Amino acid sequence: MASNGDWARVEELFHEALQLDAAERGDYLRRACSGDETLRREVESLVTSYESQQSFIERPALSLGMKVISEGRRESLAGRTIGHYKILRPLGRGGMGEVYLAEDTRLEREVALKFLANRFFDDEWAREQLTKEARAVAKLQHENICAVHGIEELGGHDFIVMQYAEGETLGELMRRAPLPTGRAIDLAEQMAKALAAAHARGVVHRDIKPHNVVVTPEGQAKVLDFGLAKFVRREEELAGALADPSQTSTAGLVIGTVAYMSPEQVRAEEVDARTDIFSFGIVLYEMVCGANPFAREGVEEILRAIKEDEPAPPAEHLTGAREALRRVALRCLEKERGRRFQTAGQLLEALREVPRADERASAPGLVGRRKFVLAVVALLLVACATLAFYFRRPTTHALAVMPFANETGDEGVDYLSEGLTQNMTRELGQLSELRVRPPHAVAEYSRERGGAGNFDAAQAARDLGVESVLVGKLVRRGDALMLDVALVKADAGTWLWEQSFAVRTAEVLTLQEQLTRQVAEALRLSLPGDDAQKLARRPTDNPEALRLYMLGQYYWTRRDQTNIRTAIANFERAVELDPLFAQAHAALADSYVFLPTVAFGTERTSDMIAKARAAAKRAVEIDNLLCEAHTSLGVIMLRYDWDWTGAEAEFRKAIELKPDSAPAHYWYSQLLMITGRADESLRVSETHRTLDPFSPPAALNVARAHYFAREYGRAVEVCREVLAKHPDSESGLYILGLALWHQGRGREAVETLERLHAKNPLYASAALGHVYGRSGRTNDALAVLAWLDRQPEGQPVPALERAIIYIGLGDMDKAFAHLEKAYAERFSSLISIKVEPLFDDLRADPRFLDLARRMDL
Amino acid sequence: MSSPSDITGLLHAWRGGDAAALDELMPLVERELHRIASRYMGHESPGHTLQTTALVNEAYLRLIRQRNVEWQNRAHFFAIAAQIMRRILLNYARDQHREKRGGRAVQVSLSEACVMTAERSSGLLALDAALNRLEELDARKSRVVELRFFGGLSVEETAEVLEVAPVTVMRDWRMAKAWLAREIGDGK
Repeated sequence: MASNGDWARVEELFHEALQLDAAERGDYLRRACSGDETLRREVESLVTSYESQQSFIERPALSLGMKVISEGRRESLAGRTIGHYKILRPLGRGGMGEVYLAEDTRLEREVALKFLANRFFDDEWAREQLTKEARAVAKLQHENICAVHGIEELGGHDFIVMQYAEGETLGELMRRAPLPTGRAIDLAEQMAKALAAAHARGVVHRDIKPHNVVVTPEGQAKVLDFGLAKFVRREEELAGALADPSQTSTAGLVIGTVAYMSPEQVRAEEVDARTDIFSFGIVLYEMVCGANPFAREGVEEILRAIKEDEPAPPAEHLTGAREALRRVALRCLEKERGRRFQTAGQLLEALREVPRADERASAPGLVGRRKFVLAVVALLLVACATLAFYFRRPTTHALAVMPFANETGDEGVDYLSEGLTQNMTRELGQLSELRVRPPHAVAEYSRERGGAGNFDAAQAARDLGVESVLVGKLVRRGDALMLDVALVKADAGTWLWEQSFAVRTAEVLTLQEQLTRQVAEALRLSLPGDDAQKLARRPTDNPEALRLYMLGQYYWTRRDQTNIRTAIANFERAVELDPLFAQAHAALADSYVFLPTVAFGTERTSDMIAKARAAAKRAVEIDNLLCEAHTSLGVIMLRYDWDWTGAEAEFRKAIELKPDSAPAHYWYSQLLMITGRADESLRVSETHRTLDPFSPPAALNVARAHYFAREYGRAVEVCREVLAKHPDSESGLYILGLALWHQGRGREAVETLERLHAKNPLYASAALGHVYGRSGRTNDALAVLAWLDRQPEGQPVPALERAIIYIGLGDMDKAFAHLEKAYAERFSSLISIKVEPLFDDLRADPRFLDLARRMDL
Repeated sequence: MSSPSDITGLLHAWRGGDAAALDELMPLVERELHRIASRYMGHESPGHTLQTTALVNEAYLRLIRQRNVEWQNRAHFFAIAAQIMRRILLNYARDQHREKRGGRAVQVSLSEACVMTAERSSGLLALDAALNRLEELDARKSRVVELRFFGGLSVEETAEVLEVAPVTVMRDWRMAKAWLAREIGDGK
C-alpha cells in the first residue's frame, strides 16, 4: 500500500491514466513514474481494478437497508438506558422483536422488555389494539402466567414491560432430556391452569409452544406472551415461505413457528380458546412421547399433517400414566374444535385424573386417597429436589477464559482484546468459588487450533477440563467498539449467558466488573463479603493508566528487546499517571528483570535490577495482597539477591493469595530445586504443570526438576513429549541433551546439543563444550571456548559457560577462576550450583564448598 | 418521547462530534425511516429497485413537519441516514454471517431471511472493513462511499453534504471504487 505521501501522487496518476485509452496507459505510466516501479504497479493495479469492476457498489444498498429496517431488526440495546430502564442483556428474539433483561431503576426490580418492531405502530388502529390487548393481559394475575406490567413508549422505542421469569424454556428442557412422567403431569397442569385463567378473561394465547413456557429453577411453569401473538403476521410469513421454495435453509426456523399451530390457524380461520387447547395438546404429546406428532419434512408437509393426519403413534408402547397422558393429548388434538376439551378447566380435570404412579393405576377405590398421599410424596420429592438444587452447589467451578478474538480488522486494538482476556482471567480468578485456567494454557490451546475464535466453545471446555468457558470477541459496530461475550457450558454447549458490552477505554474497569458479576451470577456463584471486596478493589481508578498497562502487557507477552522496552515505557507512564497502581509497578519490575536477558550488554544488569527491586517493593507497599507483587519481589530475591529465605516467604505469600497463580508456582519450584529440596520441587512443578497444562515451559520445568533430582530417565521422557509437539523448543533440547549425557547416552546427547547449537549457539555452548571435553574431543571443546572469546564486547561475560567447559576439559583451576568471576558478577544462573550435575566433579573441592557456603547453599 | 428541542440539541451535539448524540438520534431517524419503509417495502417485489431515495426524502419531510426539528438541511439528514444504513446493514450482515458459521439458531422471520444472501452479507462485511481502512488513508473518500452507497445520495447531494465540488466527489468516487474493489479482491 502506498504511504500517505504517495497517495496524492497515486491518485493523480490514476485519474490521468483513466483519461487515456487503454493502449496508451502503459507508456504513459512508465514515463510518468520514471523508474519508480512500486508507484507504477500501484497505479496500474488500481486502474485494472477500476476497469474490471465497473458495477461495483454502483447500486446503493439503500433499498436493502430499507428492507431490513422495515423488518424491524435493531441493534443491540444492551448497556443503554431508556427512561428508567437500564438494559442489561439480550434474552432472545421473538416474532415481535428483541427481548432484553433490564433493571427498572424506579421499582428496583428486574424486568423483561420486549421491543416491538415498529410495524406494530404503523397506524393508530394497530397501536390502539396492542395497547388494549396489553391492558387485558396486564389484568391476568396468575402464578403460571408471566405478568405484563405495561406498555411503554420512551426515547423512540416502543416496548412491553414484562415480568422476568428466570429459568429454561420447556423447549430447552425437553431437548436436554426426556421429562419424567411426574414432571410432565406437573408442568401440564400448571400450563392448563394458566390457560384457564387467561381464557376466563377472554384472552387467547394463539401461540402456545414449548418455547413460550419458562420453567423456573423451582419448577414453576410460566407461560409467556399471552395475546401478543395476534400481532405477529404469521399468515403473511407463511405465505412467503410457501411461495418461495428457496427458503429451505430457514425452514428450521419456520418449523419452530408452525409446528404448534392448530388446524383452524392453518386454514386462517377465527381462533378461540380451543385453539390454545389444540396447541397445548401438541406440547403435551411431545412431553410424553418425545416427539411432535406432526413432525414432517418441510413446512408445507407440517401444515398438511396438522390439518389432515392423525397424530403419529409413539415410538414405543406406553403404559400407565404416560398412556393416560397421551390420551388426554389426543383429545386436545381433535381436528374439530367441538370434539376437544371445550375449556381449559375440563382439560385440567382430565389431567388431575391421570394416575400419578404407574403401578397403582389400576387400584379402584383406593385411587382417591392414594392419589392424595402420592401427591404429597411427589410434592415432597419436588421440594427435596429443589432444596438439593440449592444446596448441592459445587464448592468450586472450573472455568477458562478463551482468548477474545479481535474481529474489528484493526490490529491497533489487539492489545484490548488480549488485555481484556488477561484482565478477565485475573478478575475471575479472584472469586474463591471459581478455578480459572491460567491464560498460558488457554492461549496455547487456542493457538494450536489456529487462534481465537477457531474452536468450538463446548469442545474447548471439555478439552481444557473445565465446566464452562467464557468466549468473546471485539467487534466494531458503527463507531462503537463492542465486546460480545458468552458463557458456554461444557455439557451440550449450553449458552448460559451472553451479552454485548460497549468498550470505551475510559470505562474498561466498569466493564470488567460488570462482566465478572454477570459471570458469577450466571454460574450462581455467591460473592461473599471477601470476594465482593476483592472485586470492589480496582487496580486503578485511572482509565488511561489502565489502558497503558494493558498496552504494556500486550508488548510484554511478545518478548524481544524492542517490545520489552515498549512495555516498560507504557508501564512507566501508567505508574506516573497513577502512582498507586500496584499491578503496573509489579509488571514494571518483571520487565526490568527481563530486559537484560533479551538486551545483552545494552543495559547494565545491576542497574536494571536496582530499578526492578524498587518497583517490586513499591508494588508490595501499595498492595500487600497482590500476588503478582510478591512474585516479582521473590524473583529478584531468588535470582539476584540470593536471599533464599526471603524469596521463599514471598512465593509462599503469593501462592497463599492466589492458589492458582502459575508464575508463583513456577518460581517457587525453581527455589526448591536450587536449594536441593527435590521432592518438594517436583510436587510444586507438577502443580504448576496442572495449572498451565499446555505450556511447554511448565512441562520442561518438571523435566528440569527431574534432571536436578538426577532422575534422568523421567527428564528424558518429559522432554521428548514436549519436543514431539514443539520440536524447536530450545530448553527442551538443552535439558534433553544433558539428561541423555548423564544417562550415559553420549552419542545421542551430542546430537541433541548440536541441534541446539545450530539454533542458539550461545545457549548450547556450555553444555556442548562440556560434553565435547568429556568425550575426549578436546579440539571441539576448545573451539567452543574460542567462539565464546570471539563474542563481541557487550555480550554477557559467559563466565559460567567457560567454567562448565573447563570442567569438561578437566581444568579445574580455570573452572574455579571463572566460577569466581560469575560469583563476583552475581550471574543469576550460578544459583543452580548446588544441584547442577555438571558441577559434580567439583563438589569435594574445598574451593567449591567455600563458594557454596558464601552463597548460603 | 424526546421533545423537538431535545432533537435539535442532539443534532448540535452530533455536529460537534459527539458520538453519543448520534446514538440517541439513531432510533428517532430510524423509526421515521421505518414508518415509511414498512409502508412501501411490503409491496415491493424482490429485485425491484424502488425509488428508495424518495422514501428517505419522505422520512425527512415528516420529521420536519411533525417535530419541527431544526435540521440544518436535507443533506444533513441524509448524512445521518447513510450512517444509520451502514450500521444497520453491517449488524445485519454480521448476524447472518454468525448464524451461517454455526452459531446459535436465531429466530428470524421469513421475510427477513430472504433479504440478504450469505454472499451479500460477507461482501458487506468485507466492504465495511475495507472502508475503515480507506478512512485512515483518506477520510473523505470513505465518506463519499458511505453517502453514495449506503445513503443513496447523488453526486450533487454528496457534494452538498461534504461541501466540495461535484467533480471532486466524482474523482473521489472513482478512486475509492478502484481501491476498495482491489482491497476486497485481495482479501479473498
